[in-house]
Amino acid sequence: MSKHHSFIDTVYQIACDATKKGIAHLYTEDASLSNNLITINKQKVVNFSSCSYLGLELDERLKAGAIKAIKEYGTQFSASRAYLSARHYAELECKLEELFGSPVVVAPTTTLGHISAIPVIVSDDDAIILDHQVHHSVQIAVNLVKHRGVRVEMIRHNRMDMLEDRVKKLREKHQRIWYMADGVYSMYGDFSPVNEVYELMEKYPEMHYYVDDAHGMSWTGKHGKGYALSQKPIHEKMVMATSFAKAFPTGGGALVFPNKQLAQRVLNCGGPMITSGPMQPGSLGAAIASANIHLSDEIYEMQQDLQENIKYTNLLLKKYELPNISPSDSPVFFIGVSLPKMGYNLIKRLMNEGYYTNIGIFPAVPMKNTGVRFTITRKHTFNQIEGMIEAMAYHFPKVLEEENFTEAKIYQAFKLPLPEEQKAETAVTALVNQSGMKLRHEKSIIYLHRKEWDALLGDRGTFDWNGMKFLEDSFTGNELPEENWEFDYIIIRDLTGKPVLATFLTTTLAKDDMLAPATISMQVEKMRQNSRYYLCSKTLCMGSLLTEGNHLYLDRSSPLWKDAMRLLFEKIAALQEEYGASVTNLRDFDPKDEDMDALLVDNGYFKVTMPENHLVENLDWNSKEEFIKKLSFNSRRHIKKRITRHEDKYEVEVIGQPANEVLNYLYQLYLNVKENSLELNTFTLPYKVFENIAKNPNWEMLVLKLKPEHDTRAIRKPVGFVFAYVGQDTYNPMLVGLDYQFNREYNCYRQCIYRVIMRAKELGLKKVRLGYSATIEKRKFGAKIIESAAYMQAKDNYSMEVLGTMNVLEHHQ
Amino acid sequence: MQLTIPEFCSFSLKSKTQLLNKDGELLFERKVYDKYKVVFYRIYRFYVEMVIEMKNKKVLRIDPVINNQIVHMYIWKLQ
Ligand SMILES: Cc1ncc(COP(=O)(O)O)c(C=O)c1O
Repeated sequence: MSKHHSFIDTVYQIACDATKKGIAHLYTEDASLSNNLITINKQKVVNFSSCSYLGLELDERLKAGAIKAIKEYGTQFSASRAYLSARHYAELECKLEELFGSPVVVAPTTTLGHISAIPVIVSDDDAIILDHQVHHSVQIAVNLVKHRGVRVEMIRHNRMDMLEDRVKKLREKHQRIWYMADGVYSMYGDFSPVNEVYELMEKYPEMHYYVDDAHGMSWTGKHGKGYALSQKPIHEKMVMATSFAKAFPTGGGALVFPNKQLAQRVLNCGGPMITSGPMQPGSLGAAIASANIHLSDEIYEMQQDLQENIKYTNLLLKKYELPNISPSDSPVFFIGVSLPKMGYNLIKRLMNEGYYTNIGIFPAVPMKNTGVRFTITRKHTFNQIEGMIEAMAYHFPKVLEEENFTEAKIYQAFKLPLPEEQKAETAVTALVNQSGMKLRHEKSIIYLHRKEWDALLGDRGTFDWNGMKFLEDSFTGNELPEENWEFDYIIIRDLTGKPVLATFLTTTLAKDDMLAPATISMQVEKMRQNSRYYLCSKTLCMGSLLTEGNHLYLDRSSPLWKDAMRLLFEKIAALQEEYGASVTNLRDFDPKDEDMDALLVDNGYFKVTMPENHLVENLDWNSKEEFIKKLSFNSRRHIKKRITRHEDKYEVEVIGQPANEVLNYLYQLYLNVKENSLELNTFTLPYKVFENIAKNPNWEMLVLKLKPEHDTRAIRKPVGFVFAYVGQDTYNPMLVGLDYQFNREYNCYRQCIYRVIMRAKELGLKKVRLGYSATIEKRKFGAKIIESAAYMQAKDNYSMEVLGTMNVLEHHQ
Repeated sequence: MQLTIPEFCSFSLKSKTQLLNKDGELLFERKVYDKYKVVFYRIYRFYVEMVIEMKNKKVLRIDPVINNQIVHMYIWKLQ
């Protein structure tokens, strides 16, 4: 399983989708630009995506500065800065020191600035706390020090209480703790709470602050020194990075330090400072001209003009009642629409009206927090601003209607108070009324017709009617929260009453690291020793944690299948809200099903590769010799060496009602395996499940003992077991237990797999589902690999990013 | 979209001028001592006076006229 690959795949897919829809990877077609009008696909549009907030990019003085420097030094002065820099650098750095009032190091880009500074200023025994929304370029640089073993953690966005808690804890072990954040956040345009961070720096000597103020540059602060430094003078424990590619706007970036020594250290040792090319003379010349403007009073007039536009924009957004996610006086705006499909739709409509805006989408924001991101510059006129907002207000309800969405759901997705009480359930009703489909929702299998359920989903594994009854009996009325599941059965029918879709969902407390690499789960489990439910979320899941295979019956020949899926999404959203679930996981889809993929991604789900599942089919052999003969040469050798050689040493029993102490012992064997299987990290099953399995005629208990000559303990005990659910024509081993003391010598685990296949044959069944993990072993038995994809949706991606900050290589810290 | 008087007043002279050009209706102009031009506008649900220095065409102030008598005087002149 490669989680990272799925992530790249999802990003790729979203980029392709947006490109296909004509709203991303576009080019301007104008021969030259003179204002904020641009031509895209032959259409003149007002540009609401420029980060050049003061509109200086077309200022004649900047152009002249660039031209002059190019005439003087050509297009590039090609030497490493460690050897020699063009004289323009010295001039620029001098002006920038005046501008920022502190020592400055100029970098070719902000990203390269981070990569230069962070590995130099952070020592191996420092700790880093990332704000959840800190810019990706900072995280790239942090990854470099993570591999040196630096402890990296993450807190929720702007949560100073959480920051203080972590600082208190980390200061026991670390002399320096860096809080890394953005000054102005590039998606929602909100700010780092600089004053509160300073208070914490005063309170805790270990705490330091690294702030990326790329979007704060120029439009605020004395000489346009940016948001962070507009709040407070630079702190002795602070480093600021900023960009010249936004409002400045010449290209390049800068690092601002509290003292000369630190600046010199980064200049001397920062990787890209030595090995990357310098800023081009053209950029340097423009930057000198821009710095001159910043050092004059003219900058304040420009800042004031921009503020007027921002004020007007905020006023109109409020009057038109658009979901302005983070109103502030920054020039970055985000209008929440929640799902990607709504974002595409609204942006396309705005484009048709002559306004170009950006989509704010995963991975920059969580999937369900998609929005229209637009920026305001000094060059916008009130007419343009009102035109765009009016168009948005006009099209917003149309998009809601077209996509069957409600405003209430948008506010919920962004955790904002509702403007008026609207229930997500109303969307379900609306969709049902519109399509003529009927949705049946039950909270227990007992209300559903056994024959129909089994006809739809009965042959797919352990979730036929009886299997569901067993699960309900086992996972209700228990003590611990993780042992009580919510069950929801959904059947959607067309007008004639024919089922188009059927599935069941369970909602339970699950570990966020369930699919993370085992080394990461190990670290999380350590934290859970103090806080049992750390990084656990209420998760709504298609199927359940104890069932495998495709849980969705969908009649793809029905013209209504997509509508039925949409109705399912609506119902899921309503359930999510009812249960307060923060993660939804729709699983076991064919990873190559492009239609389904597009539908799920459009509706705010992202794809994750699931662990491989294994199926043994064609049990059409007549003896074990014949079975072995059908395997590959290597597998035959393996089976002979590791399995059949030990076959006679075992006694295998299918037991009915075991005595209490036997069942208890089997539970211990299960715990042994559970402890060793962090690859799929779930909560331990309660003992009650074992009791229910013992009572249930659909389950079999296959118990393996070693013969007395091999098990010399005073009382002979099982060395392994398999609990399997016997389906219509499938054998489904679901739980395994092992005594690891014997496993190595007698290959108990492999013997279990072998016996399972033999047992299935004995019962005259057609298939064996061998489940997840242990691919190599299972393939030796001729198992076919079934690849599947899950689609997830998280209310926010905090947990996932926390897991992302953990070091896969770090075992025990 | 309509702004209220306090909202309108929160803007700078430059912005108020922009708003008047965009959303206002010029109703009346008068000269004072040949030095100033006073322009009377209706905008949103109220009236404003713009005072311009004639010599350099500089806008000196733009304020809502909240005194009804003055408003009536203007309106009366208009009729
Ligand atoms: C907050 C922030 N930091 C850094 C960058 C990257 O800047 P550069 O292109 O100069 O590397 C961006 C770019 O969008 C940004 O928004």
